[in-house]
Amino acid sequence: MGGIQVNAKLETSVAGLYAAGEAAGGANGANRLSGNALPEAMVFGECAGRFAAEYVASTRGEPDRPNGASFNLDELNGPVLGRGTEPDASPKILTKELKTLMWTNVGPFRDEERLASALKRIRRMRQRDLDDLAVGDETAFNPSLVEWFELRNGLLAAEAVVLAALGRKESRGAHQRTDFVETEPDLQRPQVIALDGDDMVSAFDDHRGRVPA
Amino acid sequence: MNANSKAGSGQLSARLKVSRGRPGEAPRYDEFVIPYEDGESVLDGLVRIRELHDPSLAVRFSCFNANVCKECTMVIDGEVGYACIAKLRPSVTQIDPLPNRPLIRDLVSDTLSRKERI
Repeated sequence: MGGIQVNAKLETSVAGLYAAGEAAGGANGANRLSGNALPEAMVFGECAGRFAAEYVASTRGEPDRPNGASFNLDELNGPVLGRGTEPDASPKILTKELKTLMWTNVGPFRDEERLASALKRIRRMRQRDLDDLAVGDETAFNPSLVEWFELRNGLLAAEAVVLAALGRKESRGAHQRTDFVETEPDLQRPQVIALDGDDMVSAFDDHRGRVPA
Repeated sequence: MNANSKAGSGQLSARLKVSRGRPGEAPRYDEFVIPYEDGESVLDGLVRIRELHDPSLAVRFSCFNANVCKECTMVIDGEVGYACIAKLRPSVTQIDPLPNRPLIRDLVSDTLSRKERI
């Protein structure tokens, strides 16, 4: 089962950022038993918390940015806010389309044709359509702004799922390719999906990815 | 869960009279007429208003009709309740934010206890 790549200390490729539970990959194999998610979240969540506390104690207590998160918030929100509030161009519309597309084309049973078609549409949504959506300039509790960022994150996750499913030309666990029904012994290894600039790429050979050793 | 369900396909229509505005402003009501199916909740209706009429409507929810999170607590026809439990009906339903909590905007009020604040 996939997720954010972490090392044994639950560190990600972003210094000081930790991932655990269903957000992180690697605790399970190609499938997992129902009910495992809670113990996984508790065990690895506690580990991540302890390692994060160690990390904070090891720094001099100086924040990276003098104004905390407000700098990042302005930088993040600025380009998104104030494009209007048209229902026809709200983030909800694309979110609905994305959910339907993932449901019909990227379920547990997949094939090259439907995955490739989904990938094409998701890439266009992520690199083009996302910028055309309308988000009001409201700053006090703006649900459309939250939905825009949820959609942006959802599109990244969706593209990673589709790319991984396309790259794994075999059937294994929860991933069943109707065009590659056998399990390939050569593919019993992780596939790493990463951003290369704005493009998402897949590799079976770079096992370590970008997390610290 | 069902990504294929299409909002607004019902034949019934509900009227929701919704309190709008920010702290300090004179409160005003916007009335919306929305299609619904029998059994749908007031929360379904509020979300449908955002989809069909006004995406700027501020309403807070989290579990969305699983009836567990209590985030959608508001005043429905004068009674404090959960929008996910109250059912939509053909007559007018008036919806207000909680009266004893600081208003943030529209139907959203500040419900955090002091120890939960950062």
